[in-house]
Amino acid sequence: MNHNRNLYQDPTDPHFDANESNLNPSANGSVAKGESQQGSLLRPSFWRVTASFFLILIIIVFLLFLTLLSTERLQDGLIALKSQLIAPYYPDLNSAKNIKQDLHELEKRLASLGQSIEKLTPRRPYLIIDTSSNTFFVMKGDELLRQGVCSTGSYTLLKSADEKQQWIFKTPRGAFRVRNKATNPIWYLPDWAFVEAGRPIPPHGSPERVEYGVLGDYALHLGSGYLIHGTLYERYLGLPVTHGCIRVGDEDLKYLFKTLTFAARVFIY
Amino acid sequence: MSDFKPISKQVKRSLASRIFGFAGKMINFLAPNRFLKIFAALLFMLPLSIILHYLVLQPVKQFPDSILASNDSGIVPGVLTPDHENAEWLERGQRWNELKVQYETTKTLLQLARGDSIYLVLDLRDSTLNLALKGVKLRRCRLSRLQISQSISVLKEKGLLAYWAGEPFTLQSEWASMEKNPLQIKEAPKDTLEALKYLAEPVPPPVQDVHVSLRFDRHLIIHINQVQPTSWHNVDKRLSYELDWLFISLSEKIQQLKSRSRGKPALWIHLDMNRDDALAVYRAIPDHARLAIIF
Repeated sequence: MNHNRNLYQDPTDPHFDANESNLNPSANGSVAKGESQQGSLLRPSFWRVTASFFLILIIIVFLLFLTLLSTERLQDGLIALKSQLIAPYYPDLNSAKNIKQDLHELEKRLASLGQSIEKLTPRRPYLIIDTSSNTFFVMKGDELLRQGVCSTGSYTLLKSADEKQQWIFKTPRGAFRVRNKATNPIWYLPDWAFVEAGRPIPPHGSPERVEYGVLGDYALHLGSGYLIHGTLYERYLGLPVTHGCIRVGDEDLKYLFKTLTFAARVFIY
Repeated sequence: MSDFKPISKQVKRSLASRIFGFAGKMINFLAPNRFLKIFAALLFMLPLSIILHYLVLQPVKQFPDSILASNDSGIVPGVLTPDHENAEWLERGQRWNELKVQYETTKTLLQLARGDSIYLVLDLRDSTLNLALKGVKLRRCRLSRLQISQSISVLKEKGLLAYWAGEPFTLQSEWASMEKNPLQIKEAPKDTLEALKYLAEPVPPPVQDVHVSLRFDRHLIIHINQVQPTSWHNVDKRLSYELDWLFISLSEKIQQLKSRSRGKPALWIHLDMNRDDALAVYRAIPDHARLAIIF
């Protein structure tokens, strides 16, 4: 109890007794022992120094790592400060003797460029196909005429049994044109259709390669064998399930066939 | 009536002294003697000063000249001479700068529209990122958040944009938290019976979280993030993407330190948008996609 009292004794207290307090080491008669303990504490052991060394190293590497990561933020902060010192840049007014004329010329050129850009938008209806959400948009200028769901390439790599041939079923991205329009199209089965079905590949021109009615009532050819056509499986519309062609529902197909003229633009992304 | 009392200065001081006291104790614990303290200070200060010199101070010092020097157009901006310092000249100079930026941007858009590949148009006035092809906007993605580095803001403020962004940017490399176009591999069935076994109802593709970093030329980096929070089943992919990006940026910085090359500040733009938009943009852009920025 006495010891506890001394621990919390206030030195400014008139009843404070330095002899009783542990602030006076000579009072408890263990000076030599205390000094030796203190000495061993002050003299770091080899292991403590080694451990400290590695701990310091880890902390420093971590701090440097943080600094490396924040260099862009530091740059940003400093550039914000420096911006007040950077003078604004202007055109070389010494060389541009008549800047008023130059301004007028620039305005004219800008207007002309703007017109050139406006001309790029097709005037006739065009089709945009989004392969990531399997949707299509029929546009005229900036006006949306119709939108709906479609199916595009499944991104499947089919390998033949002998692994000598392989096909990737993807819808190509880019700008295309309607090259041909057909009613009651016939599907001429390519080799992969037989490989996928586990059937032997018949020779070209074989009647086995011809199928009727599977492409719907209409087809729009985009070139390189890619078509916009109908489907027997309308429940799969909106999913990436095709071999590269674009499948749409019967009503949408009819609309596309009527709206998109020969050479109409088709944009696929 | 409330019991809330503001923290007094005395308490603040005592808190500060406790924190510093703790830090001091930690230093004493880690570096019990003077030698270790000096060693630790040197070990920290030396690389720190190298990092700060080459990766922070040098790029800032050489800004904006370093950015303009990388422009191949050969246009060197003129500086207003003292004898022209009057309001009319300044006004005309500013107007000229604005028109110049508009002109260069329009020229860039026209140049891109004449190409055959899909390109990006970042419209900072409209806060949209557009996918375009042949001058036709294919998709307009509204940005939920748009953050631009100070260096780009300063370029704009000082009338230097036309010289930095006067040409289309070209994509150099990209990192993403997802595969661009994941391929499913299918072995051909041996016969019709085996083919029938493989027939299954198609299922919608799994929801993917989209976080993309696009590095363009002229030190432009665009980070695209979805606004939706990362879903639990994609946490590993997100983490892997963040670590990849961390590793790449760190290795580049170390490389820069090793070569002691003339530093250039990072010009970055952070864009947050809807997941579907981000996915569509990432999937649609070709390998060396080009970008125009409308300021």
